Amino acid sequence: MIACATIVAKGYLSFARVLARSFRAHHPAVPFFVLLADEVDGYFDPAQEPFAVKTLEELGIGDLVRLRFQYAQQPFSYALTPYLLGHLIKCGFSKVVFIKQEGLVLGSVAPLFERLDTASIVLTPHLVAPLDGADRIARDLNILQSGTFNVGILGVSATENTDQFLTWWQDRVSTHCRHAVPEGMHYEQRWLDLAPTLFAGVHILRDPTYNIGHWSLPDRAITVEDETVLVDGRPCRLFRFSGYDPARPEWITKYSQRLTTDTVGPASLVFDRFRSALFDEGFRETSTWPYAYGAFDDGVPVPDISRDVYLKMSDTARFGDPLRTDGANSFARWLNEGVDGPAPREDTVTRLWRAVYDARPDVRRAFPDVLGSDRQAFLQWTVHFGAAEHRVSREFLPHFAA
Amino acid sequence: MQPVAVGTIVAKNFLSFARVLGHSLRQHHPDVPFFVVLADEVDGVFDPADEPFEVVPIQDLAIENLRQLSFWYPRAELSITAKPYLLDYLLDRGYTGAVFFDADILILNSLERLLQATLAHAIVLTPHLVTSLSAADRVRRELNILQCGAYNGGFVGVSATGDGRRFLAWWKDRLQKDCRHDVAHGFHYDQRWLDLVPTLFDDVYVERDPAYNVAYWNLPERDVGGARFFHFSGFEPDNPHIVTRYSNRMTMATVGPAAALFDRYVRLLEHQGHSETKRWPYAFERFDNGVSIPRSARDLYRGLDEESAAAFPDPFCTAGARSYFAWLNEPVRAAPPECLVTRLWDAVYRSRPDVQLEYPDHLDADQAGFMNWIVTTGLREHQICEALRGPRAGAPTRREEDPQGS
Repeated sequence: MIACATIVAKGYLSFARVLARSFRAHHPAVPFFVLLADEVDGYFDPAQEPFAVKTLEELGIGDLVRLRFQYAQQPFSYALTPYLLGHLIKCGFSKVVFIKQEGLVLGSVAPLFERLDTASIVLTPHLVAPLDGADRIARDLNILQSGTFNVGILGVSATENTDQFLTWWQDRVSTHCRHAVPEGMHYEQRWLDLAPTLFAGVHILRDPTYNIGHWSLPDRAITVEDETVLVDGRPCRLFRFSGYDPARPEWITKYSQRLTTDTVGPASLVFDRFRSALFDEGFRETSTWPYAYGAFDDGVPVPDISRDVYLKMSDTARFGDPLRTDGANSFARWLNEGVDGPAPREDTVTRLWRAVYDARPDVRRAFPDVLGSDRQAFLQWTVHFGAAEHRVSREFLPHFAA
Repeated sequence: MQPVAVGTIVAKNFLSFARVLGHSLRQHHPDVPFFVVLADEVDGVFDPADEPFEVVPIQDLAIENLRQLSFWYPRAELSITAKPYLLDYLLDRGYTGAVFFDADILILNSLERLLQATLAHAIVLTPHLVTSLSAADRVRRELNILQCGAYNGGFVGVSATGDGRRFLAWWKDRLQKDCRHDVAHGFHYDQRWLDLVPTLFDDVYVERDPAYNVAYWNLPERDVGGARFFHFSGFEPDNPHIVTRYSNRMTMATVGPAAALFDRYVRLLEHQGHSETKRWPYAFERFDNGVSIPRSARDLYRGLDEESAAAFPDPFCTAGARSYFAWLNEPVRAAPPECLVTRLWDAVYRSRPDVQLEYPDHLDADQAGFMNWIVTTGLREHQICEALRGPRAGAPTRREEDPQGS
């Protein structure tokens, strides 16, 4: 039994609908699952969706409370990939294929299923042939920084190798699913560079008709004939819209300024088609649905910096669920405490702002003596610049007199 | 057609390493020919005919711009950059398979399977790690590998196939100007480029046998006794208590049974003349006036566009006012007010974000401060000698008229 799956927060539900329908058109008999990396919160009825919804509870992740707080919405959904694959294998599927949310299945992906007859893990690279052209080094580097394999589509079969691979991948992304290129990290994806060296049964599927995206578009001749999208004359199987924002359709991707609808050629028709499919599937509505773990339970948005602070802490158990704000031990309250003991309200440098300070070399230079002579100037900066730059709301500016 | 040949690349100060490698290879594979590329000049300090292997002058490799390349890169990087040229050279000589070993490798047992794999596939690579790690330092160690590259550049095998040759052409092209160490941007000399190889070329074989390429990065997982080749990466026989200069995680006291192997390696190197060869100078170390070439001067030349570089066909040559050496010593700005900062020091400045912060306006308001930094700190930190110090404050500066008027 084969299963296919993706992961979204509900703000991206229209992407899941478009992907699921495009997959079903080519594989009507293969069940399609969508893991909701979020809560339904009454915004939609899972039973009405064109796919089977999996909830986070069903995955049985031991430290879900930590995981959903320590990462922002996007890295959280990325980090869930190996957990979802492991869950579906445990459900009894012999082959599981994952497709990332911003994809459109344009042809049969059966050849990938077939590779899983003999391979445990099938990975698809970003590039499948050497680049030439003046920008080849820059484009190679882009891939070396983000990972040679693309998580746009990958498959696993129920084998011992896969168990080892998924256990390893879960462990690494449970603490290191970050964008930190100098440290060798690019969310969940860079880790896959090691997979062919650490595990047996890895097959690299070097077929240019999968994973057409901004990284490969300059080399691939895309032609569109009615409903068919051809890549170098062959039917495209999976088109990827990584970094595409339907609200800013002139930009093909936020990750590259080289490509716009004007420069990308006939491929722009595929982007148009994707965009109208998203709107047909309710993009305008779903994109306004709030992320359940984006705010504390009192409605105050969770600043990204507080997620970083939490991720680096080892003794977080004392806070319980960090999204809860009731009780004297809440994480939010702890963030608002002064770093150098009780001080008058207007002089308090809180733990949260100290973390911002430590993360900003430019701010450190501007206010070297942050707890001494530069304290007031720094606190002024937090109010006039820091709060906006780091999207920190008024509740985390206790030193600010309203 | 002959089957497989093996080669390595050294500057002459590393000749003892090549001798030890060649010896150990011959013990296990007496019939496999062994070649040593000299990325250097003999300069009369040894007789290649006396060596127990064929010495291939780097000039015999098909490196079109060797003069430039030997200026662009310092000693270690020139040897690294020559790898794909050596492999092509061996295939051109009629071998069906060509294997590169880093000179700091010791063959400990038969490589029959690895040599057969080289003949059977287009490209053979050995990973740094072949099993996932489980100890507390697992993430740190794996991230380190992700920064340096999944495959180790100390061994590369290719066969005389279309994909083998295409890989070499591609690798040469990447290494021409980008054999650099800049981890934050995805560079780690020749090695990170290898991460792309299994995705770009057909028939790449990843040899995951733990007997190959045992080294400090995988020692905790490996059985030293079962090793077929050991890679002494970062080991300096003159600092024999340090396992590798690349990591302070291990010492000879904590390295276990490998310590005896390091001991043996030191003795083998000594036996092959290490105390003598290590003193032999590098031929591409200096301008022809004897001034040592600072890395910044190499980087600056490598970064010049084709037209600018064409003005200095031989960057080593210091004769005449139009030499690269003279150009480095000219003020970076010809127009008044007087500028004492030379092109070389301007390049150093641009490579140092910390110095930029200290002297944001280094050509004007902060010029005096920056010039003082050169004397007190810069000369030492960048190993730049007096001849490239630039003009002193108050001394007359002279800049040749630029015919292009740039």
